[in-house]
Amino acid sequence: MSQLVATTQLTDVTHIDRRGIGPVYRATISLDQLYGAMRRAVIRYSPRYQRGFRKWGEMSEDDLDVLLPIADKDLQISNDRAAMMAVKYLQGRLYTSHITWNARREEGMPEPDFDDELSTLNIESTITVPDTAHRHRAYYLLVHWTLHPDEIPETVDVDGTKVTGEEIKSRLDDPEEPFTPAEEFIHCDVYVLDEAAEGYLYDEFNADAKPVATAVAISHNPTKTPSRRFMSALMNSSTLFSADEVETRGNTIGSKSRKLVTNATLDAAAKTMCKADELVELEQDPEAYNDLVAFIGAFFEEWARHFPEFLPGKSAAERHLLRDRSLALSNLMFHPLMRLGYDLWRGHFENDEDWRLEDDWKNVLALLGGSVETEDPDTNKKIKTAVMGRDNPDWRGRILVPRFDDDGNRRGFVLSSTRQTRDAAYAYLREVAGFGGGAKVASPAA
Amino acid sequence: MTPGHREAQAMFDALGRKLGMKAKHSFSRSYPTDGVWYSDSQPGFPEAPVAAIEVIVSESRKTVRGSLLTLEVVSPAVGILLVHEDEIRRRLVRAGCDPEVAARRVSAINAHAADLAQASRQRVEVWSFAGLVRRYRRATGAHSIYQPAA
Repeated sequence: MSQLVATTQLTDVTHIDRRGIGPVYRATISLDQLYGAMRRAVIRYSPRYQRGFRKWGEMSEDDLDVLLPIADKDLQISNDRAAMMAVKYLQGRLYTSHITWNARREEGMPEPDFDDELSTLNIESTITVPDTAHRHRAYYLLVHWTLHPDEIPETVDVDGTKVTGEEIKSRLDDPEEPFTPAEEFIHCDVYVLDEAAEGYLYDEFNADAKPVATAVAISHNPTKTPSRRFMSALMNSSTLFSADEVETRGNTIGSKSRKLVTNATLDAAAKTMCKADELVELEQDPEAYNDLVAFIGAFFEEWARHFPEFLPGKSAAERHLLRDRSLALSNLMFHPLMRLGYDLWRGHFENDEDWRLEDDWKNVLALLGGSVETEDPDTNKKIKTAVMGRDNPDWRGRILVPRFDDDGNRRGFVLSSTRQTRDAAYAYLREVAGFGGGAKVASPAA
Repeated sequence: MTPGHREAQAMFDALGRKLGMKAKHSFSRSYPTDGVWYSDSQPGFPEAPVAAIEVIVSESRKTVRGSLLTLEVVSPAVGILLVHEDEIRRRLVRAGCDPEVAARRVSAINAHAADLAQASRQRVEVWSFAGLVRRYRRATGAHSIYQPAA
């Protein structure tokens, strides 16, 4: 009687025996070999125990148990993210050097056989990818692009910056350091687990991993994205945003902290102050870019002349007191203010005007730092109140939402910071400044 | 004191030091100018002020006259009446004044300061805040006190 056996052999393997887990092997393979194994579907993706499918609604329960090649388009593996990782590899910026496999423990199949003397591992069972699926796809793309240059995408978005297909090709063909799949290596960790444990491993690698605080991530890599680079430039150019004033270790400002704002807020505000492509384009024009950085710095300096608690060196008590009565220093307000600042700068830039000689933007901030006449919805009386005041009823329904007690009675309002409320705040600032909100909100530079 | 007023003082102080002067925030308790510069004094000679500045951040004509009087008493080689147009306009617009009206009112206070300076028996110049910023930038390379020097 015949037996059909397909064995995958890994040579030069080391291993450890992990408590309760069993052996974990480590091999070092070339990207060329990895690509071949993926093409032949020697290593496969398990929809049930990994991310699953891109379109869950179209899949049946049985589909979950079919193991698929990593390159399958139906899997929930983002090709854009994998392409970004591939380009980062070419740029020498992809640090993680290993991938993970599981030589599945299956009924009726022998355990992987490790030859101590020859340091060789023979696997007859199914090899799946319990983690690192995107890295597998990234290495797949790299080799695939080398073999099929016509399939290199026109552009790949790498942390907000577009890298062209031509640049990718030139990196693959770099005469100094060409990408040679047979000479590029990765470590490969091989577990021997049953299906359920494979799911646990996936869970530990992904769901259990605590993502680093955004503030710390930004602080460790401040030049990663256009918005982070903008924020860094701002921090270097204005003492209002110097390292002493900006919280760079936590995502919130503690009750005893005197910090003005978090780097995460500044980064997020810079990300939405204009369309993503505009900031990337401006980076290509250093004169304009530096002018924008200088303007945003000057814009907040002017704001600080209305709200001196913004000034460098102010105490925690002074800043918290302002936060208690005013929205001027709330984290939320940085978003619409920076967006409005960008609008004002863009207007001068497009008209070829030197904003330093103009007063219009200072007048806008004076209006926002001043008062507004409005109707108090509780008394239906006209009142004059500070635009930035927390008790300005115009903020209700925009960024202030009612808070209710256990008996269902309204007990004041709380600040809600979502994309929608930040948009609403931006529209209101424009309205008070006399630009009109409404339709113009969709187009910050309008 | 408003941040704008304090900023003008800090700029004048830094400018003086950059130009090699000994800069002080004020002349005396009785005549508290917003800044005064001295050159190196020689043995046997009293320390004499080279320049003194009064920063005007209000529209009050009486205040402008008071500032001029202070400068005349201090009697520096050159007295400076700095009409802080940004601070005056900022306060007016914030209080609800139309920006164009605010600009006209700043011009009026400027003209008043110029008239007083001309009538003074001392050498008194009228500066704008923009003029101070320009001099500060030339001396330090920075546009404001919140910008790290180039």
